[in-house]
Order: sequence, then structure tokens, then C-alpha cells
Amino acid sequence: MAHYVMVIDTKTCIGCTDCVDACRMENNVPEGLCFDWVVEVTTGRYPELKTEFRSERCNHCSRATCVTACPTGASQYWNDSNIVVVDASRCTGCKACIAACPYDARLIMQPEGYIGKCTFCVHRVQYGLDPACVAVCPAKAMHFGRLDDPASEVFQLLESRESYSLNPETGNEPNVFYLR
Amino acid sequence: MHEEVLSSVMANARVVPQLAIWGWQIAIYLFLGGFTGGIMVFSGWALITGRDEQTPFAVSRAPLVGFVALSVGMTALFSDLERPLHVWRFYSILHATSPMSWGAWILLLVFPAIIVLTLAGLPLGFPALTKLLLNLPLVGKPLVQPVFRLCFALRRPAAALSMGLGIALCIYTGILLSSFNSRPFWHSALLGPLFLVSGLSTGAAMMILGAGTAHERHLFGRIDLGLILAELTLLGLLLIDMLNGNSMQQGAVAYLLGGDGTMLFWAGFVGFGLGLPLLLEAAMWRRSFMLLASFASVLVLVGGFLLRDIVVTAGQQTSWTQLHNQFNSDLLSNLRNDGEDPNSRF
Repeated sequence: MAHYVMVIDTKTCIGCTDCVDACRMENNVPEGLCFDWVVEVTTGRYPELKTEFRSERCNHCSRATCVTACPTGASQYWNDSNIVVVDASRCTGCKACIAACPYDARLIMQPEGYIGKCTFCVHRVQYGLDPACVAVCPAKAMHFGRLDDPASEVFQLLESRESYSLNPETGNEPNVFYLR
Repeated sequence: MHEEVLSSVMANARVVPQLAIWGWQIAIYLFLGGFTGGIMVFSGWALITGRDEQTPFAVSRAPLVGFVALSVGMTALFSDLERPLHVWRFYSILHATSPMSWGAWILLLVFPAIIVLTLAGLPLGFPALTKLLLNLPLVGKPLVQPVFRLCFALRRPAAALSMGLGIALCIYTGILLSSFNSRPFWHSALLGPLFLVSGLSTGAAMMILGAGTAHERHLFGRIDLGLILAELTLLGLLLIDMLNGNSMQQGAVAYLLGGDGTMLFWAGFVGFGLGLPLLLEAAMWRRSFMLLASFASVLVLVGGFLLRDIVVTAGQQTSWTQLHNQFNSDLLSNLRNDGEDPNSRF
């Protein structure tokens, strides 16, 4: 099984939100909606404050609760990988997957009504390209690749640097990692 | 200090900053589904045990009430779909891990069972309506009459089936919500039994409201008393479960213990929906009074709806992402509406 992960370096990310704009352009995200977003995290106590930026999106979980909750099988894994996609033609808009997602990464597409989300840009990935957000990152803070390939850049990064993912205690096994 | 603020806008409608995907339509459906399930269980039981004389309403009339209620409930459910034309997709697959898929198939089985019970009871329960149907031009004699006969012949097997399907219909709605581990308030296996008992209780309340004989009213009054006690017990267990849970569950249950849902839950549901009918039914243990029993039943029905509405709302109040930190809508509106030119501030 192809195991795709995104690795984002919070040390080099400058929080420019270019990834958000790239996603908008690439996926024709309707106005007022978003597939990805950037969070500014401030920790510490003045004057010793630390800031890091986190570009967040669907975590393409290896054990995605949105896929198990979908009554029609519209929410599914793409080509036996961990990339979660929605087959709009099978989606009834029942919103069970939105309730099931602990990361609130799903949304109702307007005006069509099917459920939308980050697709890791499968339409690019299937031709060997990086997702749009990764491709445009001006700080080269975002990396994409296969974790099941020990030679890949993402494998090396996760092997050599300290990292974390969001709420792994959900049991969903999220696949977007942040380097500290 | 640990503060998380959005650098880009995340305001997906009805998801962020506050989940609001399921509203009154879902609460109505969950209530009417449980209500119909309760009716199916008691009508089925009355039919199987041959209580045609003692409980005429449960045997002949209640199934029609259940059929109408479920039709209204399904209409509400249908109206909540974002893509209603794709509703048939529910029946293109049974997705074993999805309680909603199971529910869709249960509903498909429930309808024929309750239609058989309804038609079997129609000649005795609603003679005028039966006459009207039998006198329909063209289809009256050749079609309607044999259908009535067939349903009457099938009524006992259908009753047995109805009891099982009624329980499934009541309990699946609770299991559906409890399967979402991403919503701390819903994530308790007690929701299934709680919705089952509540559904049975509202079904019994309908039997009291429509009771054809004093015996029937008294019988279902006593049954409802036991069901209300069971419901209070399960509710207590749910609160204990949440209060002893992790911090997210404790945060979720705070909605009912001092939060926005406190009044509705304690005064509305626990007080008027459970406590008062419990006292009334207990007072009528030896002898049932029609007005008092009907009043108690109406309270039980209102309480049944309030339970669904409160649970549906409470489940959407909390999530894994701590959004009050990530999206401060007050700050945003301040920036937009303070009348100040942001460029002239410094």
C-alpha cells in the first residue's frame, strides 16, 4: 500500500499562506471555503515567546473515521493508498463524515452540496507531481512523498528530525507531520 | 501560554468555527424514529400475545400513527440531505462499518412490516377509512380487498418481525451518534440503550393517549412508569460516564451542567419530560385517570423530542480542535466593524 505523507518544517515556514492560495487556484475552491489553512502558534511567556506556523489540512489518516462512517462508500481511499477522497457522484450530503472528522477538515461544497476536502491533489500526484501547496511553497518548508520508501525525502526527514502530528490520540493515524 | 490563532481564514460554513451540520430536522427524525420503533414493539407484542380485546388501540390503530410519524420523520431526514436526489445511493451498498448505512437498510425493512400491521388493523380501527378504500373505483374490490386479507393473514409474523425491527430502529439512532469518537459528547455506548428506552417510552405514551379501553390506558401507564425509571437510570449513568471521562468529555458535559443547555436539559427534559410524568404515573398506579394520564403522555412525548434535540446540539458543541483559540470571531468582527481605518492606527 502506498503510504503518502506530508512533512512540514515549522522552522522554515514563514506563515505566508501561499499554500492556501495555491490550493484555491488549483482546486477551484469556492469563495468562502477552504481545504487548507494556516495556524500561528505562540507559546511561552513574554518576553520569551516562541512562534511557529502550521499549515493544516486533511490528515489523510491511515484509519480514517470519515471513511468508516460514510454510508454509501463515497468517502474512500484512493487507489489502495491512504489518500482519502470523496466520490461526488456517490455522495448524498448526509454529513456523517463531517461529524466523524476530528480535524474538522471537511466542508459542504456550495452550491453542489457534496462534501469537499483536501485531496492531496491526487490529480497531480498520479503524474508524479507534488500537491499544489507543496509545489508553490516559497520557503521550501513543505515536503510530500511516500513513507514506505526509505529513500524518499519525507522518510529521511522524519528519520532525522523531531516531529509531531495533530492529535494522534484520536486513533486515526494522521499523516501530516510537523518538524520542530 | 499556548495560543493558537489562524493566519488564514478558516470559516467553512456550518463546520468552522462551530459545527452546525445537523439541526432540528435530525432531532425530529431521531424522535419520530424512536417513537415509531416504540409503537412497533408494543403493537407487535399486543398482537402476538392476543390482546385484541384488552388493547384495541395498540392492535388496530397505533400502527397507522407509527406509519404516519415515520413518514414525517423520513421527510425531515430527506430534507436534511445536501444532495437529496442522490438518496438512492444509500441502497447501492451496505457499508458494514457505518451505522447510518445499517439504519438506511433497517428503514427499508421497517416500512413493509408497519404497512402490513397498519392494513391489518385498518378494518377494525378505522372502519370509515377502510370503506373509503374498498369503494375506490376500479382498484377497490379487485385489489384493495385481497391486500387487506393478505395483511390480516400475515399480521402475526409481521408482528414478530416488528418487535425486532422496532428495537433495531430505536437503538440504531443512538449507536449512530455514539460511533463518532470525534464528538466527545456522543462518544458513549450508553446513547444506544438510552434512545431505545426513550423510544419505547414515547411509544407507550402514544398507547396511553389513544387508549381504547381503561385497561389499556392503565396497562401502558404502568409500563411507561418502568420505562421512565430505566431512562432516568441510563441518563444518570451517561452523566457519570462523561464526568469521569477525559477532559474533552468533561468539557462536553459542561454544556448541560452550567452551560447553554442547562435549563433546557434539567428543567425541560429531566423535570417536565421525565420527573413530572414519573410522579403522575406513580400516583396512578392503582387507578388511571384519562386527563391526567394524557397530560403525562404529552409530557413524555415532548421530553422524547427534547432528549434528541439536546443530544444532537450538545454533540456539536465540542471537538478535538480547540476552536475558541483558533478562530476568535469577536476579534474578526472588531477588526471589521470598529469604524477605524486600520492604516491610520500607527
